[in-house]
Amino acid sequence: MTTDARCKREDGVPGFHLDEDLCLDLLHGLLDADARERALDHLAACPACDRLFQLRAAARERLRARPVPDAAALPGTAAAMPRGWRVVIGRPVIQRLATGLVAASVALLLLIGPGVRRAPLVQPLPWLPEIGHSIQARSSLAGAASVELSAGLDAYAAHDAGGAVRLLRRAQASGSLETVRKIYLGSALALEGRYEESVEVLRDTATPDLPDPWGSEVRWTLFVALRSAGYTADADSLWRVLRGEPGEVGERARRLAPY
Amino acid sequence: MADRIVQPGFAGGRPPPAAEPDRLPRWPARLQELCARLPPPGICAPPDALRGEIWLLLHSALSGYLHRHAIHLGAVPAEDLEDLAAEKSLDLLRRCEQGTWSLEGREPGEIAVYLSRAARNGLLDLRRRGHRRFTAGPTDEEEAPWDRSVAQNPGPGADAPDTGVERREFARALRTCAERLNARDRRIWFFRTFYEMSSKEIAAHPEVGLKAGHVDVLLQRCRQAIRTCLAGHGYAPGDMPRGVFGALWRAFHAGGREADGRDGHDD
Repeated sequence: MTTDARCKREDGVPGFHLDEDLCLDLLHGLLDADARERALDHLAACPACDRLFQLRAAARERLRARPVPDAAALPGTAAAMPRGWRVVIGRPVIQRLATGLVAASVALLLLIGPGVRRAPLVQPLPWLPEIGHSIQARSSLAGAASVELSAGLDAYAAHDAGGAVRLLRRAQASGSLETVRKIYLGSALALEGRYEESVEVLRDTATPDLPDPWGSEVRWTLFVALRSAGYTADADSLWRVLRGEPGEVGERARRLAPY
Repeated sequence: MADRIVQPGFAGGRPPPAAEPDRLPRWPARLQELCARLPPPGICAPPDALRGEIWLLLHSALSGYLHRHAIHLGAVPAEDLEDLAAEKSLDLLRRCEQGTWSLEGREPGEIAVYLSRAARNGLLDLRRRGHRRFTAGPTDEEEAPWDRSVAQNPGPGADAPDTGVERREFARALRTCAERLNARDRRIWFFRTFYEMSSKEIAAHPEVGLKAGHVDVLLQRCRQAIRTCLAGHGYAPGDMPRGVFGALWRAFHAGGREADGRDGHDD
């Protein structure tokens, strides 16, 4: 922010104009309560800054309404944009024609050669399969202490990783339900990108006696978390085990080049 | 239709804003923290939410720098600034994911400078390419937001007492009326009224998730409700003075009340 005598609050306290950095911090919820209040107080007294902030807020929400561009798409940035992005619009005709030709070629390949298509090498970390009604029923039988466990599993089933983490962290469980809590918590943490915490939760839980498909997926999640948190030797060791497993997880591990 | 030309930022009406001396921007540290959560390349794709947040932050920061540098480098059409921000942010996101741009161990200031340079270089490239719409100086096709606001609020102070009182009163009435809408409808109304988002954009927004036709129906209903309520306070929607956005944003967004949809209204 910058001081400017022209923009004083009515109580006589000088205000600070918002700059781009402060707008960004405010919009993204990165200011502490005092700084946020000061900035918002200033907006209330300065229509010019209010207008700037409004423009930046509008740009942000418009962006949020678009799908995140696929960074794994074609190397040319424009080609990697979601459909409808104006990046292509307004470009020279030859460039647009070239883009059209590339798109047509891709479409043709997809039409005539489905056998050539291969699953992308790098897939998102999968969500664990839903736990099923029987365990939910057991959970509900376990009494009031499991309300948060049930809610956490519901949040996970709704693919709300953040909510699942909050609820499953607080949930109380014992025995096999504690294992259930840990594997879903560990998975949700990894899906949130909190790999270190995921490793902490899953390290002792991802044992070979977990039934599939949960067992193999939990081991894969632990592998990703170990690798991402920098436990390279442990990750390598688990990867060698996973490579020998049958099914989708084994296939996933075999597709990975040694690292 | 004439191109929308933006001479953005704070050009003309006052000196460019210098950061408050003791205040460093927080967003670089947040970007650093988010990028540290990306899995190593080749293991698995990062979670969509994580990618989305990184991309949003990169795009917003680059947009800010592009606007700032455009003041010195010449007026640029708004859509070209948007294109540049989109290109650069996607490029940086991809490099983050591939591990070829690491923020580890960087000072927040370094990150900010890096993005600032990326924005400046992008603008210079655009100029080198002899962009047809890149003009040497300010244009009057559209004034900067700040300048325009100042132009419409002339006088030595940005906030003359009468307009300040009027604005606060109107904001209070509008807030009271908007609070009567349920959370979803209010969000939709807010997006259209203050962000000028199209029905299609609103429908696609992650906090809405409706069909565009449904958005139109809800908007019609919201407008009617707001109009009726404002009339009860002695106002019409057309009376809205400049500068009420922050007050409404503070009421419905600051602190994430609106974002989490748990503000006590039924959907």
